[in-house]
Amino acid sequence: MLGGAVFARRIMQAMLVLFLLVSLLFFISRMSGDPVVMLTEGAIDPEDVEALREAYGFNDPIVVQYGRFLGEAIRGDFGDSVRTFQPARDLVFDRIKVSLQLVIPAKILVLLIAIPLGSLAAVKRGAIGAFAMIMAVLFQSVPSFFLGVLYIFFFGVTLGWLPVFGTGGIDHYILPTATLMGYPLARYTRLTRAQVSEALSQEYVRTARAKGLAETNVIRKHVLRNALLPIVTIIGVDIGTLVGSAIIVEAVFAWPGFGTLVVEAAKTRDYPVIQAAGFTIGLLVLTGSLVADYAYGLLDPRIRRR
Amino acid sequence: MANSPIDLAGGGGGGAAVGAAPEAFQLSSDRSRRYKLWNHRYVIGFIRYPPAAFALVIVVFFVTMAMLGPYVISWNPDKPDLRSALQSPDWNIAINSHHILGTDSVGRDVFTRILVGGRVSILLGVVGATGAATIGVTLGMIAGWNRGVIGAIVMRWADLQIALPLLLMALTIAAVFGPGLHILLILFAVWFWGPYARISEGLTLSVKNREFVEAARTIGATPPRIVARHVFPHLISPLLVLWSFSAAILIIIEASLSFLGVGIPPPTASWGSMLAEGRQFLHRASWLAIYPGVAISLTVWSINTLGDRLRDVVDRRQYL
Repeated sequence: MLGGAVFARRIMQAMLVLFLLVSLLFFISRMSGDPVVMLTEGAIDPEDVEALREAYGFNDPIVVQYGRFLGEAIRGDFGDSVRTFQPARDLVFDRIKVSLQLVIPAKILVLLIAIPLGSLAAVKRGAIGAFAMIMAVLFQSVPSFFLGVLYIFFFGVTLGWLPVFGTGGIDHYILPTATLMGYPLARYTRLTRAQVSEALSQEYVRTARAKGLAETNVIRKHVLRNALLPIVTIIGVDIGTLVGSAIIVEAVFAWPGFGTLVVEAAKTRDYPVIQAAGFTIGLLVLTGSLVADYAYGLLDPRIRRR
Repeated sequence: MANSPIDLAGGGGGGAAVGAAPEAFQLSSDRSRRYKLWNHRYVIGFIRYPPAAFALVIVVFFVTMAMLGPYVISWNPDKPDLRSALQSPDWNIAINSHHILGTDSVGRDVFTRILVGGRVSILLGVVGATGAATIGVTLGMIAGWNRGVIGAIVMRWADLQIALPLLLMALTIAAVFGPGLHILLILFAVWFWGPYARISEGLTLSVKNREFVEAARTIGATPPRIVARHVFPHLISPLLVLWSFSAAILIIIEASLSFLGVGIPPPTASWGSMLAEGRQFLHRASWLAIYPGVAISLTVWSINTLGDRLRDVVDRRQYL
């Protein structure tokens, strides 16, 4: 599937989508009227407004502004934040690093727990299966902001064991990471269980058993290898969901990462930051799904050969 | 069960049934198996699974209270009453003289506000998911029927929705237009139809070369008629499952936005904003945060459970 030509076409499509995304963000932010008037909210003289409009180029036709915006966006320049006057791109990158300190451990822990648990739940039904599914249903139903508040209530307020907001020592990471893990844990456990159950009912498993392989070998070499492949794809595609939950979790725990930045930018109409953030997320999501497709091709010989 | 001609719908969050037999995929010439709108056997089969029955009760409760709430409850959900601020829950059947779930920091009845918040959440979930489904199914069927330029445009736009997740798009829109119910409804419909379009496109593709479509074309049916009368019925069951899950997601997203302070503007109650407010009083009035959270979780659990059940009842291979 992923020969050179197909892959090149996928990259072209991804770039087209990214271009559309940036254009859309530009026009949406211009739809609300003149940025200068809106940002100053009548707080300064009309003459100064006019001077600012001229300085920022808002008096040019919208097409000219759009062209200029695209030219700068291609070079990764989305302008300066209207709040802090730092370049929007640098702000976004700095904050993403802070977010990754939560996101990466959460993701690794989720995979380490969910894949064995889901596989066990499929192979050995009974108590483990029931436990895994009850846990999955719970974590799937409790939205991350409520899960975070519950953790704060029990471990922070009632028991007083853990700090509940901001950054600091290692103990500051525990509750936000645990909250971030909630929904993905449910999702991956269910997914693994479904995949493994499905693989268990395949013909090749019956063949493997029939030729007398030990059950552990059947599971390890035939079932798991086939069942876990699609999960690789999901991990890449899931970046968007992960960013979404990071926004919420950071808000709950006042974690100064990317999510907090986006929410602040939205509340203060900091368009350069919103545009830089939207572009970065689009880039991450599209790259993630491309890499996932590519990895899938590498891991699955059947697809590689096609 | 999976092979029996069973199909269900949660019409308006309730639990009406719609028939679309899996066999219809193979046997559309069999006119006796028309899609039935109602068959009590399906409903009984559906609720025989206790969690699904319980989930149905919860959804029906919230929907009923959303509609009848103002006639049953006399507390004003938005009017502050500072003298009775932060009263703890007072369990009593007389809901109009006791604050059974306590009061918030300005003395409003928490139970009343949860019911009112449920109205907003369920409205947004149901109407948003239905709007998204309408747009997505229409575009998806067009794209599947008429591949080429139109199909490419539709599918790239769907990609765009994945590239910028709904929550981020909602934050951007809130920045430009300010928060509000109507904005959210429109946004949910125009930025959440991607999954519907994908499923509809795929199924339309798989159905459009079958004999019954050929037959319809031979007797002179126009493409819109073929798509509406012969293709669309095959999409109903998988779409209903997707519809229930997307309603749950939209409810979570609305609550998340309100929690962040960019969803439903105050003083209108919303589960998300109630939770955000209650968070500040965790140490002395934990009920303020706990009960709205429980309401969201129960609702989401119910809708997911109904959706899962729906998926078990409809053969899941049809659309995966």
